[in-house]
Amino acid sequence: MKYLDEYRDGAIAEKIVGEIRRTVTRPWVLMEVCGGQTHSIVKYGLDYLLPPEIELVHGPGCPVCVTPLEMIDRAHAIARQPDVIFCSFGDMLRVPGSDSDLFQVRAAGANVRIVYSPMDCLKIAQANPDRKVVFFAIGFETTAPANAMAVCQAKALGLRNFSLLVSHVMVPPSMTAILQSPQNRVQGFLGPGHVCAVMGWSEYEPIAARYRVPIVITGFEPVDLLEGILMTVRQLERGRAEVENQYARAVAREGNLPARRMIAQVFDIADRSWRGIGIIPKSGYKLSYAYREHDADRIFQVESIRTREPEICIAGQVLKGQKKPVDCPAFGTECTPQTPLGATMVSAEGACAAYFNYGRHLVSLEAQV
Amino acid sequence: MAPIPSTTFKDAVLRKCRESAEMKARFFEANADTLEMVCRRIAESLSTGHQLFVMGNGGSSCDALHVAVEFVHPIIEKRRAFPARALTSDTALLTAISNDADFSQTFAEQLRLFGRAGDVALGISTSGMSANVNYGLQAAREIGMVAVAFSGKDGGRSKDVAEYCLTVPSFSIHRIQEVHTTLLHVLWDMVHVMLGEEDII
Repeated sequence: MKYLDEYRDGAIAEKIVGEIRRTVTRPWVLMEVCGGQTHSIVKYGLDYLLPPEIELVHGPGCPVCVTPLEMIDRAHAIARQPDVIFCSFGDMLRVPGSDSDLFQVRAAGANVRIVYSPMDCLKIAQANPDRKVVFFAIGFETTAPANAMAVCQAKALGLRNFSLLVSHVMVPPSMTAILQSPQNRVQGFLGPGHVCAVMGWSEYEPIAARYRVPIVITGFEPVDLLEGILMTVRQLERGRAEVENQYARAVAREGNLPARRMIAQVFDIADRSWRGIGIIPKSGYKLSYAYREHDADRIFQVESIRTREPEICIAGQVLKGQKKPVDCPAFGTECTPQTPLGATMVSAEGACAAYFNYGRHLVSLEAQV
Repeated sequence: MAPIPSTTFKDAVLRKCRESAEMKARFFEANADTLEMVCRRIAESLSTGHQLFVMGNGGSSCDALHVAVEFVHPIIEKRRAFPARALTSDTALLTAISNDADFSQTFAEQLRLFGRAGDVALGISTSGMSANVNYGLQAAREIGMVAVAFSGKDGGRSKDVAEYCLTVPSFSIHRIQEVHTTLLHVLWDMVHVMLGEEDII
């Protein structure tokens, strides 16, 4: 298949790995921002192909992972209300809150439904005028346009029983937070290909210049990732710190302008709390005042929520690239995809789940023997 | 407290001051033409009986008060006073709007009530992302006011909603605010010079 087979071609990959080996002269720490990129790296064992000088650490770009516990508990509290139909993408249902997950909330009698698009919720709202239909709007800039579109449509149709519980976050502020951390080790980024397909890459240029880090917008197939690594390492070795676009077949500098306009129309920029990281100023979206009738945060007065994170879980450090899943004492033993302690193990895009699914816990256990 | 060797301390202080001075020089070099247009529009507005409204949050709310007091009570006695109002100073109004409507509407609601076509709205936001400042600028344009933004970083959303956006291209809030402070002084001064005052400062 065009745009797929050539990006999984072993011979091309081998050639790029050879070029990386010839280019690198000293140690570099690179972060791939997206959970999808982490998944591919671990699935194809790309980190094993790289010379020892290059260390890949995994970034915060897994939307499920960074949704704060407080927001998940809030979702559960709303879902439990008797007149509510609570809708979500499937991957949020197994994410543990302080006491339960959405599957358990559903088992206890709540009306929780899996949808494949926020637009599905509009049909549910039309069919159930006496119920309040709430969609759990999480994710990065990639999912924000469709959620914005759903609210726009609801407003146009006069569907006042449809609302969004918004927990959208943005990538650039999280990269800035990582770079500003005293524990930061990251020297170059593989930028988020899908996010940039929506937003373009101009907003990464000031970050590259300010923090002197190369940022290479990178795709998700093995050859994409290896080429992104090569481009980043070339910049580092030559002392450059610029934004480059490896994922040119999908990403334009200005991004997707109608999608960006839709985001700007519906959402305001707001401070957001990131699970494991904390509050990052102006790092997310909230519904603007014009769409307040569709804002679940306004509609549902949820009592103050106290959250509890498992003490042993190091998901926060994993999300900031300070530790790897195998550094966690619970990884693969107490914490598995069947019994996840933290969100990085729940989501398929989470670094811990990727490590587990591709057998890295076995490597880790073998090393201990 | 960790001791800092005096030479290291002095180096650090001088580095920050140098950065601040260089940022100002770079900013004014790049924005002098836009600043001239802004000063001309404000001079025209104030000299024909219109008002200046200023808005910002946190440190920028202090800048908003600072701009207003410069115009209302000139530091140089001979210069004329002009009507200017910081929209950040009425606690009852700010809390009422925030509580009853939304914090993002704090400035827009005031401008819709007090603003008139031909007045000037100046929004100050170091990121250009402050929702209440941007809604204020948007409301100002809808009313027919001149909408000016002082911004930072990449200008954020302010550059899209303001008629004129003066952006300090830095990631440091402190460096941005230092340029904004100089900017507000230069703007006040040059508005008066355009209205015939001597250029003596």
